[in-house]
Amino acid sequence: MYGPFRHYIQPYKKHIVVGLAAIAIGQAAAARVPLLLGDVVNSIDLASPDQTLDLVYLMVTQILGLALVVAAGSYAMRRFLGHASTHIEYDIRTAYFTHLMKLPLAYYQQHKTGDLMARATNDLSSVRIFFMYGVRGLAEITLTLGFTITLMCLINLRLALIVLVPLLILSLFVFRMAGLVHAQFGAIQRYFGLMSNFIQENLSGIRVVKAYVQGEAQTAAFDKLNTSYLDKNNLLIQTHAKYRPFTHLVASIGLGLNLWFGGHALIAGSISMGDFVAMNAYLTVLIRPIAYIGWIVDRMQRALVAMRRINEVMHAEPPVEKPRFSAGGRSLAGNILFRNLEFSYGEHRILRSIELEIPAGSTLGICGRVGSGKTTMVRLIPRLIRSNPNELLLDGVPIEDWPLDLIRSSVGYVSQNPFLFSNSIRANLAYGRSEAPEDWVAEMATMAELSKDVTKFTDGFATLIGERGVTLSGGQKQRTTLGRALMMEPKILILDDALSAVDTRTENAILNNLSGFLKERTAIVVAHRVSTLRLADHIIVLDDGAISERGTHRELIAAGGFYAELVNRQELTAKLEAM
Amino acid sequence: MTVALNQEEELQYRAFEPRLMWRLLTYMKPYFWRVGGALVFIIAAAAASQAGPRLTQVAIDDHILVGDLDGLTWIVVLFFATIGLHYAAQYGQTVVTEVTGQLVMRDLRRQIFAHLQRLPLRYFDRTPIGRIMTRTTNDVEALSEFFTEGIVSVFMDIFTLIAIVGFMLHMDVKLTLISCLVVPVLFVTTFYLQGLAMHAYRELRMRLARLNAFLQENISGMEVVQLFNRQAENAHDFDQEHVPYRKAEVREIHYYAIFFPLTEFISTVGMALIIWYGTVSVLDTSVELGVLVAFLQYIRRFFRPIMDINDRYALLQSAMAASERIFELLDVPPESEGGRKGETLPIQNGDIEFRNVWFKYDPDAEEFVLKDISFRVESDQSLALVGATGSGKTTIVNLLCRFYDVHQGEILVDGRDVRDWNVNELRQRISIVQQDVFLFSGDISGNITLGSEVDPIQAETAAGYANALRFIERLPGGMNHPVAEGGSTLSAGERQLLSFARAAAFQPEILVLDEATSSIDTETEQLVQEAISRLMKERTSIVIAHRLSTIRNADQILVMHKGEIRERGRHDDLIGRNGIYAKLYQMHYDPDHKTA
Repeated sequence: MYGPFRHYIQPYKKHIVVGLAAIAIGQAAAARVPLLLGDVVNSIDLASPDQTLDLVYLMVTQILGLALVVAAGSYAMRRFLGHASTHIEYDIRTAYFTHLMKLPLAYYQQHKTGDLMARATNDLSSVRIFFMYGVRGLAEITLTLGFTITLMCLINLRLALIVLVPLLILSLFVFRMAGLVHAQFGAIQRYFGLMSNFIQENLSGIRVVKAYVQGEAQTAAFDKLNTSYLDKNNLLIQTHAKYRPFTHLVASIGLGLNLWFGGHALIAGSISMGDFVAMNAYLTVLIRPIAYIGWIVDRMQRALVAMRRINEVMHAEPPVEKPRFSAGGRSLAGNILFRNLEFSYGEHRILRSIELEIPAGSTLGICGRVGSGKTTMVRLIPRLIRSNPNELLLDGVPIEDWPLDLIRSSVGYVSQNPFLFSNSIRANLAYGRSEAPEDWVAEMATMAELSKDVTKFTDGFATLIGERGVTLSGGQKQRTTLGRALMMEPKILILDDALSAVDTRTENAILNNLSGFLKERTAIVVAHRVSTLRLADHIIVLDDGAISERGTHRELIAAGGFYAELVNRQELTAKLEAM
Repeated sequence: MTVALNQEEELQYRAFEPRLMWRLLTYMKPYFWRVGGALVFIIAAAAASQAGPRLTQVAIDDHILVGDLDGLTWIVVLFFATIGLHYAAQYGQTVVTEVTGQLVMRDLRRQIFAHLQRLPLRYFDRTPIGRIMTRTTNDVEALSEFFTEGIVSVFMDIFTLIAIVGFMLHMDVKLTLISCLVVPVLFVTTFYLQGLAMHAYRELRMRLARLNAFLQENISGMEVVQLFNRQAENAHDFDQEHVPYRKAEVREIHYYAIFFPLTEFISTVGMALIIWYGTVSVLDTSVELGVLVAFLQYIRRFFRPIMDINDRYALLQSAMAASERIFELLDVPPESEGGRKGETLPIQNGDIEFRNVWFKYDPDAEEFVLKDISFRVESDQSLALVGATGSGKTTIVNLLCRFYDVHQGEILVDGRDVRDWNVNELRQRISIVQQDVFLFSGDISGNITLGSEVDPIQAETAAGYANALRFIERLPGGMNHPVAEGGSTLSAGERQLLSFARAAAFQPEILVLDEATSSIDTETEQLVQEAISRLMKERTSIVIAHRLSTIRNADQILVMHKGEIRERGRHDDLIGRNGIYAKLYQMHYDPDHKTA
C-alpha cells in the first residue's frame, strides 16, 4: 500500500503524524460523551434536586469541555492532513510535468496526449481524494469502531454482544452490495460510451444523414440505445434502492434490539437507565463508520492503481546525453554534413544513403513527393529525431557530440503544422526569447510579414490567440511560427513547408525580407511550390528516401526531371489563375 | 493548434432563475402520478425514520419505568414495524424518484438528438462537434443529478424537519423551543462559512481547469517546448498557475476546518441546553425522563438538514447552468421544411434548372462563391462540373439539395423552386455520393440501406448494380461483414463502390456524384467507371468529375472558374476552344504534361 506513495509522503510525515494524533485525541474525547449522557440520566434523583442539578452542571461543563477538545482536534486534523494532501498533490503534479518535459519526442509518439492527461487529471484526482478523505476516514473509522465497541462492552458485555453481532453480520451484506453496484456501474458506463459514440458518429456524418433523409431513422436507432441506457440505469437503481437504506436499517435494528433486551434488563434492574441511554447513543455513533467502510476500501484501491499509472510515466527514463563538448558560450557556424546517412522506423526505410554537404551560409531547397522523406531529413538537424552515430555532422563534429541545448538554440525549425500557445501574440513570438525588447519583436514580426495583421487587432501584440482570443488564419499562424523562429536568430534556419498556407504575394514579400537575414546563416527550405525555392543556391529532389536530382534551378530545369515538370505545371496553374 | 480552454472554463454555476426552473419542471409533467407517488413515499419515509426516539420515550415512561413487560413487547413490535416501513418507503422512494429522473433524462436526450437532426448544416459548420457532444452528454448528466437527487433531497430534508419538530412538539413544547434556540446561530454559521468554502471551491475548479489546459497545451506542443529550450521557463510558468491552485485548495480546507468543528460544537451547545433545561424539568416533574432521553436523540438529527441546505443550493445552481446551455441548443431554429409535409408529388424525371444564382456561405463576406450561375439539365441527361478546387462545384451540389438557401436567383427541380419543395421530399429524389465517403459503424448492408426500410434483397440488388457485390462476397460474413466507423478496414475503392450501392438502393431520379480523387488500383478503377456509367444512365445526373471517361460521356460540361461558369459544351468543342478547359486538360490528363 505504502510503496508507490513513499517518495511523496516522506516530506510530510510530520504533518501526517500530527494529523493522526489529532484524530486520536478528538475520537477519544468524542467517545466519552455518550458515557456522560448516561451519567446525567443516572444522576437524576428526584429526592435531592439540588444535588442532582450540581452534578448535572458539572457534567454539562465536562461535555462542553470535551466538545471543545473534539472541535480543536477536528480543526487540527483538517489543517495538518490538508496541508499534507495538498502539498503531496502539488509535488506529484510538479514532478510529473517536469519529468514530461525531459522525455524525448519519440515518447509522445507512443503515448497520446489524452492518455498522459488522464493520468494528470483522473488519476491524480483519485490520489488526491484518497489523501484528503481516505487516510483520515481510515483512521477515524478504526478509532471510532475501536473506542465505541470497547466502551459498549465495558458498560454491559452481554447487551453489547447482542446488539453488535447482528450489526456486524449485516454490514457484510453492505460489502456484497457494493460489489454488485460496481459491476452494474460498469455496464452503465459502457452504454454511455455507446450512446456518445453514436451521437459523435451521427454528427460527423450529418451530411449523409441529411442527404438521404435519415434523420428520423437515426433518431429511432438512437432511441434504442437511449432506452437500453435507461434500462441499465434502472437496474442499478434497483440495487441502489435496496442498498442505500440498508445502513440505516442495520443501525435501527441495533436500536430495536437495545430497546427489547435493554428494556428487559432495565425492568429486571440488571442495568441502569444511564447505561441504556449510553448504549443508544453509541449505536447512533456507529452508523457513519459502517456506511463508509466500503467507500474507503474502494477509494484506497483506486488510489493505488492511479498512483501506479502515474509512476509508469515517472519511471520512463529520459535519454542519456553524452556530449563531448560543453556549450560554454559557443555557437555553431552552420556547416551541415550528411555522411552516407540511413534512417528507418522499424522495418520501414525512410532515408537511403544521403550524401550531402550544406556549406555554412548557403541555402538549400528540397522538394519531392509526399512521403519521400523530406520532413524526416530536416527534423534530424534540430535532433527532433535521432540519427545513427557519425552520420550527421554539424561543423564537422558528429551531432551527438554537441550538447542538445546548443543545437536547439542554434537551429530554428519551422514546422508545416504551426503550433501556437493560447497566449498573447507577443508571448508566442518571444517564446524562445522572453526577455527580448519590444522593438526586436516588432522587427521580426515585420520580417515575417505579420505586423500589418497585428495592427488590425485592437490589442496589437497583446492580443490573445486561441479560444479566448482571436482565431488566426492558417497563413497567420504560419507567419507567427516563422517570426518565433526568427526571434532566436538561429545560425541554421529550416522552413519545412512552412509557408504553404501563405498566399504567393505575401510569400514573395517574406522571401525578400529574408534574403538579407540569411546572408550569414545556413537555410534549408522544404517546399511544394517552386516559388518558395527561389532563394536556394542548391536544390535537391528526394524520391523514396534517396536524392534523385541535385543542382541549381537552371541545371535542374535543363535536366528535365521531376523538378522541371513541377516548374512546368506550376507555370500552367499560374496562367490559369490569371484568366 | 491552440488548446480549447473554453470547454472546461464554461460557467458551471448560475443563479436561480424561475424561467429556467419552470421550463425544467415541465419535463416532469408526463410523470405527474409518479411524482405524486414519490411524494407519498418521501413523507412516509420521513415520518417512519423519526419515530424511533418517540417510541423509545413511550417505552421508557409508560412501560419500562412501571415494569410493564407486555406493553414493552408491543412498543418493540411497533419499533420494528417502523423500521420495516422506513426501509420499504425508502426503497419505494428511491426507485420511483430515480427512475422518474432517468425517464426525464431519456426524454431530454431524445429531444436533443431529434432536434439536432433537424438543424441546418450551417449550424454544424459553425459549431465544433465537441461542444455539441458536451451538451448531449455532460450537461444532461449534470441535470440528472438534479432530477434524481437534488429535488428529492430538498423534500426529504423539509419533511424530515417537519417530522422531527412534530414529534418534539407532541412530547414537549418548551423543550422544543429550547432546541430551536441554537438554530439561528447554526443557520448563519452554515450560510456564511459554507458560502465562503463554496466560493473557494469554485476558484479551485477554475484554477484546476486552467492548470490542466496549460498541461494539455504543453504536452501537445512538447516539440515546440523542447525546440525552444523552454523547459525551465515553462516549469516556472506552470508553478505560477500551480501555487494559486494549491492556495485555493488550502483556503477551502481552512473554511471547512472551521465549519465542521464549529457546527459540531454549536450542536453540542444545543444538546447541553437540553440536558440542563431537561433535567430541571424532570426534577420538577413537568417532563418525564423518557422525553429527555428522546430529545437527546432528536437534537442531533435536527441539525443535519439545516447544514445540508447549501449543498442543495449548489446543485441547483449547476443545474441552472447546464439547463441554460441545453435550452440554448434546443432554441436554435430548425431548418424550414418548406412545402407541405406529406404532400406527394407525381414522379417526374427530375429536370434541373439554375436561374441566375448568387451565393456566399458567410453573409458578411464580400466575395460571392457563386456568381450569376444559370444552367439547365434536361431529364435523364448528365452534366459534368469541371474546375479547380474552390471554383464553386461543390456549392452547386449543396444548393441543389437545399443544404443552404440561395442569396439571389432560383433553383428549380421538376419546374418547382426548391424552397417550395418539402425538403425531405426533395432530398428523397436525390442520391448524393460524396467524395469523402462516410461509413457508419455497423455492417455492410446497414451502410447501403442506412437503416431505413430498404429490404435486404433490394440492398443486394443495389450492390450488384453498383459493382460492389464482388468484393462484398469476398468479405467474411458478406453483407453482414462489420464496418468500423469511417470504414477504415475497406480500401478507398471499396468504399466508393459501397457508396454507389447506397445511392442505387434509394432509386433516385437525380444522382449527384462528387468523384473521389484518391487513387485506386486499376482493377477496381474499371469497376468504378463501369458503375458510374451505369448509375448515370437513364436518370438526371450532376457529376463533379475528375475521371476523363466521365467527362467525355457527359451530355454537357460546365467549366467553373472563380465562382463563374466560364465555358460550356462538350469535350471536343472545349478542347478546340483552347481556353481554361484545355489548360485543365493539359495539366491533368495530357501525357506530355502529366506528373503524379
